[in-house]
Amino acid sequence: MSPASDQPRHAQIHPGAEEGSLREIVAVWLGLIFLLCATVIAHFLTHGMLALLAAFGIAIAKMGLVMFYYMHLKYRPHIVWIFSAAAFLWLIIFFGLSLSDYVTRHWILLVP
Amino acid sequence: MTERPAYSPGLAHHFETHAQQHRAATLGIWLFLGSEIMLFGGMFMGYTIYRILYATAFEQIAAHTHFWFGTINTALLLTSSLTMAMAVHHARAQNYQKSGRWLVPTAVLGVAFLALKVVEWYLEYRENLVPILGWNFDAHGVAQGPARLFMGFYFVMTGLHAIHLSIGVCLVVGLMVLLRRDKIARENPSKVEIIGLYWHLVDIIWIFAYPIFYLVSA
Repeated sequence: MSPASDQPRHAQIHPGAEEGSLREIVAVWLGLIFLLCATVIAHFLTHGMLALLAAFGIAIAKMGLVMFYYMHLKYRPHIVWIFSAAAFLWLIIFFGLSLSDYVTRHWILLVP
Repeated sequence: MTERPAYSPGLAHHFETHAQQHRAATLGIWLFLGSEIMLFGGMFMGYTIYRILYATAFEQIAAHTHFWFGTINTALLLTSSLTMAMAVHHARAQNYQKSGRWLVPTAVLGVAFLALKVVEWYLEYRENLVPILGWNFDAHGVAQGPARLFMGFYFVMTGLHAIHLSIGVCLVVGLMVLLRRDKIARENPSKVEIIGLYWHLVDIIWIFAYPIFYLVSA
């Protein structure tokens, strides 16, 4: 018998991977719905910059839950983390450099 | 290095083991998802710049998007991510029948999202909020230019997202057919997981589209 067929097929495909249990999957969904409710409440109770920070803070938390648990990043080797982080790193450079222009443009008008 | 088996169902000829094939498939889909993040990232960047330049007008016109439609749609997509995660979980345990059963609500929730989106777009069309094709555009008292820009971003981004979700629904239906014909196990069991990753990314894009279009109103 060949080495690959010595083990159960599940073990061949995901060696040693102890990935999300059903309980974890449901708990993450409850967390996501809780965060959605928090978004709605924050929308009606907050204004201005605070509302913006609340909306995006909660969105980032939701993304974290989906990526770490539903997309299995928590259980993946670091090479997959690097691949997923690369796109976000590019976004940080893209937003950082673009906004450093647009956010500071009007500052020049403030110079006497 | 382990000796490659002479024949192993679902193992492509250029891989040594299923584990190696799975790692390559995971990296490949993450690379693709990275390109998707960059595609939508450009649109989010464009939106952000105009949001900074026309903050007040954007806040005023955003009050005309339908908050509860957006909220219900967010709940639908988050729940579809739950059902997709369930399908992936059962596929990994090689319980393909259960996996197929969880794909049904996933596709249904995706279609429900799209149906609600179409109703919402129709309402916006009735309210003269579509800034294309020379149609009559009513800015509802907001400055015309920024109002058109906001609604332009809204239709392009939600439209592109809907196209991605439609592709996701087609892929999920295709998976259901393959599972029904008992082809997944023989061909490539990673397929459910790979399509699941795509589905979750479409969910994440909506998670960020939701605040920029529905939560920025003054």
